[in-house]
Amino acid sequence: MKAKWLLALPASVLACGIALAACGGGGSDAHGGPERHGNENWEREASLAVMPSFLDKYASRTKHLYSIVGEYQDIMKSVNCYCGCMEYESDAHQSLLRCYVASQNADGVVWTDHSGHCGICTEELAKIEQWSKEGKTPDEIRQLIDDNFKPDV
Amino acid sequence: MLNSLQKNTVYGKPADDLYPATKEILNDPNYDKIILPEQLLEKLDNKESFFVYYFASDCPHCKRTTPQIKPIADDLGINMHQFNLLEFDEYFGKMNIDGTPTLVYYKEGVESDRMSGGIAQAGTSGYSPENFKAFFEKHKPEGND
Repeated sequence: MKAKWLLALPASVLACGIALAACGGGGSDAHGGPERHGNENWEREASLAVMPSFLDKYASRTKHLYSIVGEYQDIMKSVNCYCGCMEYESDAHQSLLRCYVASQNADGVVWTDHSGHCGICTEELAKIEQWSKEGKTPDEIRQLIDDNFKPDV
Repeated sequence: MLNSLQKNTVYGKPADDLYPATKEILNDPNYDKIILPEQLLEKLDNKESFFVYYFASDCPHCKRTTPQIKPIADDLGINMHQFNLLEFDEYFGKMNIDGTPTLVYYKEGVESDRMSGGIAQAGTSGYSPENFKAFFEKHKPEGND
């Protein structure tokens, strides 16, 4: 990985010209900014309370929804996403949470920008927030998500 | 100079720089009206009146919606410009797009109407193909640049 990155360095320096700041690093250690994984960009942060820098590019509603993932992560883990991502041939998403968070461990979280691109992923979380505030239980919310977003087969 | 050498795809960048999902639609006739950021900004600056379909090439919902509304737009003679937000994601914020797909109508360079979301699958709430047809027919007389 390291060697590959070093090889790519001259090319990226050429492509970036003097706009070095715009290119970001390439290192996966520490806080290196977003990195591409297939069609997603991933970004490591210390916790769900720390927003990824890629959010700077998005509209305020999207920023708000990423900011409440920490609060609703338990229910998100048990809710299906019906955008189609759970049927991907490779690296299929396991729940709505995966549309926002690629992985999570003791060292921190890896955010993904997938939901930033996805109207259904954001709408589902907006509804989870709304229904939670209305006092609905997790079971009721799961059912409502299926009722509203699950297509007829 | 460097830029002109690199413009070997409709996105103004080399295929190697594109996301996998974008490479998949490079030759798809349903995406034959791709508009680039500088073209979009120029149209807005010129106070043109036009439709823009904001999509992301990786968005499954867009993949289902585009093949349904593209023929509707073509049949009505609509210039439905297609902006791929996966490749130019800073335009989510710049154009205030909450999710994909979003269809926007700009009247004389200013947004005047939008439809957020694609065509709903059976059993879900959302738009029908008729809703899109009505949107196109409503705004076409105001300009279709």
